[in-house]
Amino acid sequence: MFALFAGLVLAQSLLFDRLLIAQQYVPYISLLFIVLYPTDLRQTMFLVVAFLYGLSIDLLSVSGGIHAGACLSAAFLRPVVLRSVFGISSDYSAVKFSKIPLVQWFIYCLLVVMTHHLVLFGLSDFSMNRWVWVLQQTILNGLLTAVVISVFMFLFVSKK
Amino acid sequence: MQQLINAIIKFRNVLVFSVLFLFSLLLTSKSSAYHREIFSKWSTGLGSWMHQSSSALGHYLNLAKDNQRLSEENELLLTELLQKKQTDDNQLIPYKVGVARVLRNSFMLEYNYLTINIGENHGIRPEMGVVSAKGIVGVVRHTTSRYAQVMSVLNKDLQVNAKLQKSNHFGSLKWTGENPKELKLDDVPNTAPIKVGDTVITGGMSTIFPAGIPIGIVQNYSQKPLTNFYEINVAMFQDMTNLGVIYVIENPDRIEINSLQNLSNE
Repeated sequence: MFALFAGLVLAQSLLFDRLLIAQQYVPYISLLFIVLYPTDLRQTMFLVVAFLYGLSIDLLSVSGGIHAGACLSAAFLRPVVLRSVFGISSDYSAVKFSKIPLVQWFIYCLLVVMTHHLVLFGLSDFSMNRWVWVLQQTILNGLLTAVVISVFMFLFVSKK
Repeated sequence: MQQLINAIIKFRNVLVFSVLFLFSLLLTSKSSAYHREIFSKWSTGLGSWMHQSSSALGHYLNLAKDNQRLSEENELLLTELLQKKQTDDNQLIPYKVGVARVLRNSFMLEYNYLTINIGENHGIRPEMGVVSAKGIVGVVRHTTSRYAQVMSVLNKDLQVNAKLQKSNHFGSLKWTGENPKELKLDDVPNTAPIKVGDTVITGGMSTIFPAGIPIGIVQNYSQKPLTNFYEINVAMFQDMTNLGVIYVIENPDRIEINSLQNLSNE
């Protein structure tokens, strides 16, 4: 888990932040961490870890606290997403990410990513004046990120 | 007590989330000039809204004093109007004036601001000058639709171009952050004839204040060691701790003049 933490932070800030697609869209591959964090661990701990995770991305990309806030929000709302996508049973038992169908996985990723992006772009804009831009960035970047994360999942995790 | 602890344990995730999220907001607001600006704009709006109600009572209690002050101001304006008619050719720039009331005023800090009760809806924009009947007060910094935040002359970030009325020697006026009734005039060459009690007025080199607005009188002065400049302490006419009605002045040609100056700076 720690290796995933460090590896993703570095990969995001050193590699993927520079990978602009169509001049303005960035795949936030770092969200794999939030998505893959075990579901049977304590939620409070998850919030703290997610915050620190976002904070370390912020430190590397000198962006104040916007990633910290966004990762924190995504982590905070993840139980709700888990419950709505995988059903109530996931509350008490671990969801085995490697065994779920790709469609369900994609929807789960998309919801977590959208939460993260909405907060991220909302914080970076910090006013209501450009809400169209915020929504546009959230949706397009969110779709891109969800697709990239799903592909990663398909390639690496589900083989195990 | 037990119930309180139970509630805390039950809502611990929400609590942790709120605290950490506030912390990330704080970090964000500190990170860039852009975020700082927007943050202080929000707080201007919120603070003004809260202070409007409390200052309404103050207005009522101060009515008698305000009336007296208004009549003084009317008198002064009338005199100025008459003088202006005589020397109309001197005033080349058509300044516009708007009346406002001070909602909140600080003078205890090193960087002081005031909030006034007119804003963008009344045509107020950042970088307009603010004066009272007795002298300069500050420069508009942020505006919301109904309020504006004004950087007071009691703010170490503000420098005003000023001159000695008698000799027309220019200098730059700043606050030292100590005495709220005293400003410091720097960069006046020591060739200037100067006496304690001389009047200091605005210089008119900037587009914010027109020339000739009174500021204060020379209280004492000394030569700066190893330079050819005076260091002059100016006692302000306007008591910054007691502001009521103020006037926001606008130079309609400001944007044009500034863009011209920026052009030559590049």
